[in-house]
Amino acid sequence: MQGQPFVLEVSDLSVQFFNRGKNPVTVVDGVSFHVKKGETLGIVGESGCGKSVTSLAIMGLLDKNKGVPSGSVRFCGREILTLPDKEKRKLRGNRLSMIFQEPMTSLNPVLTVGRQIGEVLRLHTSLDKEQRKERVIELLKQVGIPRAEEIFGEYPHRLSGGMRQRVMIAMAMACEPQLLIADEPTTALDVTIQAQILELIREMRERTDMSVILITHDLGVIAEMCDRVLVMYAGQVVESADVRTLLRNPRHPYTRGLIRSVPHRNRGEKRLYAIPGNVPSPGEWPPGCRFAHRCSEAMQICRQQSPHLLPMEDGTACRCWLHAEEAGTKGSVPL
Amino acid sequence: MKKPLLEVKGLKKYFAAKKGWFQPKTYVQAVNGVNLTVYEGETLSLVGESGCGKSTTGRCILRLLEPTAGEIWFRGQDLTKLSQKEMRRLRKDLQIVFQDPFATLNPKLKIRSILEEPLIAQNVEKEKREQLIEETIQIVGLSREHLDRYPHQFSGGQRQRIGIARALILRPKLIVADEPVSALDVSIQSQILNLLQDLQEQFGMTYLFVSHDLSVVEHISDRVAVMYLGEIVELGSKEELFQNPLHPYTQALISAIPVSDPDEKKERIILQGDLPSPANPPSGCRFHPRCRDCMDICRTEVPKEVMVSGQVVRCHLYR
Repeated sequence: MQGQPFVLEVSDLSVQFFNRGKNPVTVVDGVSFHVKKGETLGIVGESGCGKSVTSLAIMGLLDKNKGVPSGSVRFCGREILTLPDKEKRKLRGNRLSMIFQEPMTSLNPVLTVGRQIGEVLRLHTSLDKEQRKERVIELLKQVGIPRAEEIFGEYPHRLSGGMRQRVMIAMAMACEPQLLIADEPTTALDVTIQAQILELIREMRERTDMSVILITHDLGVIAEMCDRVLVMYAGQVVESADVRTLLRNPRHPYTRGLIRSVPHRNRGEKRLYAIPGNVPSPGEWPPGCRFAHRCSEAMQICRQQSPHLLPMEDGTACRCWLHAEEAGTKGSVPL
Repeated sequence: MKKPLLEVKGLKKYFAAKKGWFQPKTYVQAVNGVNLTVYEGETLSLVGESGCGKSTTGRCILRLLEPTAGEIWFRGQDLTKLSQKEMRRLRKDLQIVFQDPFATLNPKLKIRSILEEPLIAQNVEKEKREQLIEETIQIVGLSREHLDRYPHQFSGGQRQRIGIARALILRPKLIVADEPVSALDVSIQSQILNLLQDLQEQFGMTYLFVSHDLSVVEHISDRVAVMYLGEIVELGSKEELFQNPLHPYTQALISAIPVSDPDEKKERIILQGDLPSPANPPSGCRFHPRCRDCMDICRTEVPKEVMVSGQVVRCHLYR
């Protein structure tokens, strides 16, 4: 693992939200991780656990008046969290790209598809108009859009959900980024279309050797796409492992619960396992372990002291008192 | 012997789509000739991608939408022949749970009033109403204190419990559950699925379960009907349909489910293209432009429903 340069290194990233007249609320709390070249990192968790806010903070897309990030985000060795907007803009869409869950709300409805993809090239390359058009059509073909020449002049509302997501991917891939952040890219799509889009992301990844951060709540998608996985709960990383270890030998009770709650065809159980209660919303996080009140294995200490994210012997990490002894050492260790 | 509770025959629902003043009217064929039988005490699932007409079918059965053609037999009565007034009385036995618990609860009413409304509509006496409300709120896993709160004070999972309580309060025979867990997180989803199963055991409820999520459908159903562009392409028992899918569309759909097992490598059938518009469905078999087993006959002739080893399938491969 040593010696390989990290494309992205996030350490101790926190995000606080300020609402007028109210106390600031911490939404992301001390998240640390890294992404290697060509690697796909999955971030999994339920709604409200801070996975999307983490990705927006990395991209520098948080609303300045509300969300304030702290900590450090290094992209290819360079600190980007504190970069001025102008510098950030040079990175975004160029070496760092993002695709979102609902392509219709992220595409401009009054601009043609060709113009929107061309915009990326206009900002980041020195291609002239003709060359840009050529490149856009090539990109549309790469993402599997039929009749690329015609679609070039179409408006987003004329396309289906799957097609729009392809357009988003074409846009993100226009400058062959080193890191693609995909925030729930297939959640709004039907299963057969989801299969097409996942296949496309896989293809793109292999062709350009880019790294991917895939944010999803679907463990099936994680299993198919990712090398390593972070599990987030209530703003914190609670477990980090390679995909096989995570799905085969999950350590954290939350991860175990999550895996067991998904209906699984080969298990054939009559009743599903259910985690009792709800995810606490930011600002209502309990003291001690944030999962303790839903955890069937909670002990005395869990309700009083928060556990640290501790490295395990096999290179994984887990934030749970049950595994504190296994880890041996105490203290949070950035991964 | 299983007793049929609901029989749907040749159900059609066309929506008129006006293009312009002088253009001829076109019709979106949302549901085009659906036949199905729901037996007492079972869960029949309608599964398919968005726009395949599964929700429209569910709503036509309750006559929340007026069917264009077809018959809906429920306990010896054809629902399509009833007046709205008669239908209203019958809704005591036919209830629906909607997908989005945020949108279907009146934000200005307390939970008590939300649950009371169906009882008032069915002329239940005051004392009986109180008793039923308190009983039902506990059955769905909430407590009496919750009755005097407003919907915004609840989480998504709790709101869906209230939605279920509202459907359950009249102790109906049939509940149409229209994507009841799609808006919920996985850990909450399993709570709601368990609740639905408990109610089925306790009250002998029959469910028509509408969903796009195949793993959920496989978990909860006894029988499954797969819809594509307004038609049922395959209908069979859950075991048969998932182990041995006959229709090429069902095969593709099942192979597209992502499996949360990193070592299970399976052959994936990736369908080409998108769902065609139901306003202008393809000729012959509606699935033929995306089908990998497409033959000449598929382009011209509409396949009929045939029985193959207990499953109903609509495909020229099984003539």
